[in-house]
Amino acid sequence: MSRLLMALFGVLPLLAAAQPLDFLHWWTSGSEAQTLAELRQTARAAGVPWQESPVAGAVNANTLLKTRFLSGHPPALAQLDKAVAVWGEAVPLADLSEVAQGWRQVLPTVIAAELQYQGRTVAVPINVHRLNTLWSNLALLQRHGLEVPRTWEAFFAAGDRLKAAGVIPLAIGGSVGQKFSVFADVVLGQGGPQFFRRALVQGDAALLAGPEMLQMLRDFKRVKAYTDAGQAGRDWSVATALVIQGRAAMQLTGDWANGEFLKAGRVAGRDYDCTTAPGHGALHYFEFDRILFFKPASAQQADEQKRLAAALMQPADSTRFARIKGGIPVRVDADLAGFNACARRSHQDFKAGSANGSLTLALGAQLPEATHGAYRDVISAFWASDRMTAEQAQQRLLKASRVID
Amino acid sequence: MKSYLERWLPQLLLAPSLIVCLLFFYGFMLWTGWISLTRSGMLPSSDFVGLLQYQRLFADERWLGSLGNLARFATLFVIIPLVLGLLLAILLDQKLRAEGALRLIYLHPMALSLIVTGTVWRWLLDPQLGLALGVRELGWTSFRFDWLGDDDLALYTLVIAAVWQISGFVMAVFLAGLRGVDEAIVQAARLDGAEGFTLYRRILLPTLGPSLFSALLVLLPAAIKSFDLVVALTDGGPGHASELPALYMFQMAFERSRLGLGAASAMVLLMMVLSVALPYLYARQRRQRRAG
Repeated sequence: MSRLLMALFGVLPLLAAAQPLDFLHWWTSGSEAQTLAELRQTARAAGVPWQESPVAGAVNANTLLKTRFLSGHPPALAQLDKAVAVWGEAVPLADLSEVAQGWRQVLPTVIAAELQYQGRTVAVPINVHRLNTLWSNLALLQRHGLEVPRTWEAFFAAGDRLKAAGVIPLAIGGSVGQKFSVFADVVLGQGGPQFFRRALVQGDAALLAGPEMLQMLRDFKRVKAYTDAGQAGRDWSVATALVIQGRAAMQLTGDWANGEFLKAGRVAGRDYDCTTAPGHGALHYFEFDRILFFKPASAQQADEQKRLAAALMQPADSTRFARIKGGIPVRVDADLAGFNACARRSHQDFKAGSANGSLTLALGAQLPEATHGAYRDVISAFWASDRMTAEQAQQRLLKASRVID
Repeated sequence: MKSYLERWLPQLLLAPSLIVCLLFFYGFMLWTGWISLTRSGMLPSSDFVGLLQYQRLFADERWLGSLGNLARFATLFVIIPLVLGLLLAILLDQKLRAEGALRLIYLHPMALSLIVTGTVWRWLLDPQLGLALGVRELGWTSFRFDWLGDDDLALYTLVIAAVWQISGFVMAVFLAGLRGVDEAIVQAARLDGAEGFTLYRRILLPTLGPSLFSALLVLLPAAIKSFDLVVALTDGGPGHASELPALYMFQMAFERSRLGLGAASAMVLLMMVLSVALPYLYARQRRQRRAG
């Protein structure tokens, strides 16, 4: 009872000096749990005392993380789904700069920069997920005499043919994220990464209110005509299943869909294809899993954090995480042996994008949560409503870009 | 000694729960009020900004939309169960043989949590897999029922599920009211020639005022607080077409890292619930004063 009371009043952190590194995360599903086992093994091998605090669901995990900071016993590490700065402004973080010296040579600049807060490295990347992939059922497309569309014009033309033949051209899930990724794919495919950055990340009013953005919003809404009525409440993996079964021809979603095709025994390049979204060429639009390191409780913990960070970035370990979690390794010098064709192509584009500067980080990791959320509100409302015009959506998008906190 | 204990024991026993209530109920209410006046984002802060969060709240189309949805939802959620509940109560009042069993059947939806209700109805109303598929398989191949995916009609799927859930309860309240009428009055009315419809219209229904009041007092705050049903059935979608204010509050406070804005919307919800409860409490107090 007295221990419970002490915990309630947050006295425990005083006793926590000799505690292991506590990792708060929401990796609870099959492949995620396997990745976790790998992380645990890497930590143990590096001689770091390791402890896990799993919470189901990102929202719950983030709420618990906040609560633990407020009650005075924060974890040493946590899974991160926001921009590093969001946490950096709120709580003290660790400083891993000492072990991160060489990371700039093996990581793309975009990633190395996003691991830093105020010039100090505070997080470690685990793996990269490509977001701008068009998954297509090759047999189905061939049966209708179609090729995988490489431009939005070709996409709409193919969509018309498929629709007339009674096939769902584009499978889509019910979440806001699924629609938002279609919007991002349209903007990136028609405007390119520069436009994307200036309009959506920097909120350039001239671009957001301009004729190009209006056309992009129209095309985004036009995509809806090629999706089916059963999308409400549908999980992305169910949408992928529609493509695998041949009831739908294509899906625009991240590379986590690859696992679904593999599980169903399909072969990339023969049964299904994984090209970039229409108009994207070799552009790589991605998000990456990373672990945020909080201010250590003691000098000993600081040392353990650094050892862990160094161990997680070892080439072999880093590659192993990606193979199990899906996606691709975060290091540009990674060896892709044992990865399938989709992952190899993704990593190739990832390296090329890193070299020529076109590599684009997910909007959610570049914007304040409030702004990103406001954009998502507009896009999801516009997709759903048949009354909202593209002009109205554009006005609201402009307004959303000014929502900061 | 004994009298001392006798005098203080009730207070002593009530004290812990009273303190817990004060702290966790009114304490947090005050705290939420304070947070709504600060710039709190991901974590609570004490940066005072006056009514800024309320200005932001009422400049947000999503919030205004959810208020409009609440108005439509609450109107139907109150009127339909009242009418349906009253009808069922009158029918059950006809001294049926299987009344107990029927009452149980009508009350049963109440035993489910709203999450279960929402999930079941989401499956039933699924445009491709649910009831619509069943009807199509029966032979009506062009049958469509896609309210869940329609931004004008999605809100009414919430009404369907909520009415299904709550009507039995309203029926029970009215039935108790009908049964509470003094048998002598009913007999007297019968002697005067009142039968059937007239008996209900002139004698029984006018005595149901208190039942109506208690039903309203349950229904209105329930409508304002509706959260779990929305999450399970439509998740506010498509877009925000079926979003109610409680869902907005939750998403802003916990998913968007806009704690101050979420707190402001919580305070507005509190005001709405109070505006339902206070007039009732006031009226009751006046009646008691008049009676005493």
